Amino acid sequence: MVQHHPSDDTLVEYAAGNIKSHLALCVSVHLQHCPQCRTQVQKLSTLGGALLETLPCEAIDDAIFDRILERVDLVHPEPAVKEDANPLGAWLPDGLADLSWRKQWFKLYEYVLEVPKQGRWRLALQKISAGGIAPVHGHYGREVTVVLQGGFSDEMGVYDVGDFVIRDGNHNHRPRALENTDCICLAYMEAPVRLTGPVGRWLERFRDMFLSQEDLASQST
Amino acid sequence: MVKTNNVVVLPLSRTMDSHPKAHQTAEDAAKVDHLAPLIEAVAQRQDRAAFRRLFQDFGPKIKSYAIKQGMLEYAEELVQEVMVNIWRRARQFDRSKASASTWLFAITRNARIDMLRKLNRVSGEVHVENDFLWSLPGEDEPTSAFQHAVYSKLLRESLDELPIDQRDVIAKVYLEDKSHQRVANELELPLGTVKSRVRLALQKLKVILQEV
Repeated sequence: MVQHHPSDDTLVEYAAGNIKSHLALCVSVHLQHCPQCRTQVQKLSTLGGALLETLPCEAIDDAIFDRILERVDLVHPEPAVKEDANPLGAWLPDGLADLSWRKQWFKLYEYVLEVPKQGRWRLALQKISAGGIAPVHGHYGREVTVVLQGGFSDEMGVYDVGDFVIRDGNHNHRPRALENTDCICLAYMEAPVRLTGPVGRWLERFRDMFLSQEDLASQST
Repeated sequence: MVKTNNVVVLPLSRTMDSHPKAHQTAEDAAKVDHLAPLIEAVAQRQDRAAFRRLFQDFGPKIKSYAIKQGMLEYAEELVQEVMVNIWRRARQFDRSKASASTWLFAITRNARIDMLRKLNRVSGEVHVENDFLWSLPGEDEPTSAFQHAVYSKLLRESLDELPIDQRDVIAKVYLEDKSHQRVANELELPLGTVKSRVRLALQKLKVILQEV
């Protein structure tokens, strides 16, 4: 049962089509598990339709229509029912099976889906083995997580499949996978993870040596 | 049965008295949602006359939307994109799942996002096809086409009843491609104020929605 949902503003911006694609991706994965938010997005899209109709009409040259007709002659109409569109399908054609996970900590693994050529964000799957605990950490930027399999808990609550969680940078947490099942999450991180435990803090002292001035400036804001 | 449902829907809106038509039969859905039969004609028999009427009725709105979105120089291109997508996807339109206006909005929104991507106006984006991210609307349990149509119409009318400051903020988010944060910056209001205006507006509109 999905308990944690995107905020109303996020759903509004999603329906309006003006959120970043990574956030849209996380919302659309959540929607696959959450009938309640699907209904909400449907209503918000209806609102979009209503607003669109309130716009004034802008005259269009009729010649445009001829051009449109030329183009439709070249396209094939799509079938009535589209095959199930899995937003993660491009990265995970075989679902969550047989991925080559990269070990990050004792029971913590990562499978990177996408990192930018420039910039510091990261889109990845994270796995904590059943019953495992991740190190205490925070983030230099926002982290968006959607649970894909199993579940985890931290100081703030318990999260099951489909749950959508946004944590901002100054939030430290220590996720623990539920017993019996490995927990796999889709995670989008605006910026790298920041370790905050006793050992982590010691390691973090060295990170600053590698961060650019710009990064440091953006952290302090 | 459809009719009893309608009776449940309508008393929730103060506008019901001014629209006695809504009490009538499901055939009136076509009057309420006049674009639906046109999309269906395109789907069923690739009807070019219906397609032209869609272009004449809806095209000017697409252009207006593009201009609001700050895409003046690409406005007619967006009109073309949207129309071609309507043609391509007409069979996916199902009036028991969404009203024509909702469906057309989703097609238009997706075409706009696609175009912005092609123009490289967005940065730091993950590479995934837009249609996967913003799927076309479809409800889990199909409701009557009439209900969808009436609901769209009521929503449109309820918009007129919103206080101007609330309506304004909602319009900026939906039609001007602005996040809550950007609207706040533009209006020089705290983000919290913008969010609460949107929430208030949605609550007012939801009053109708929730009890349907």
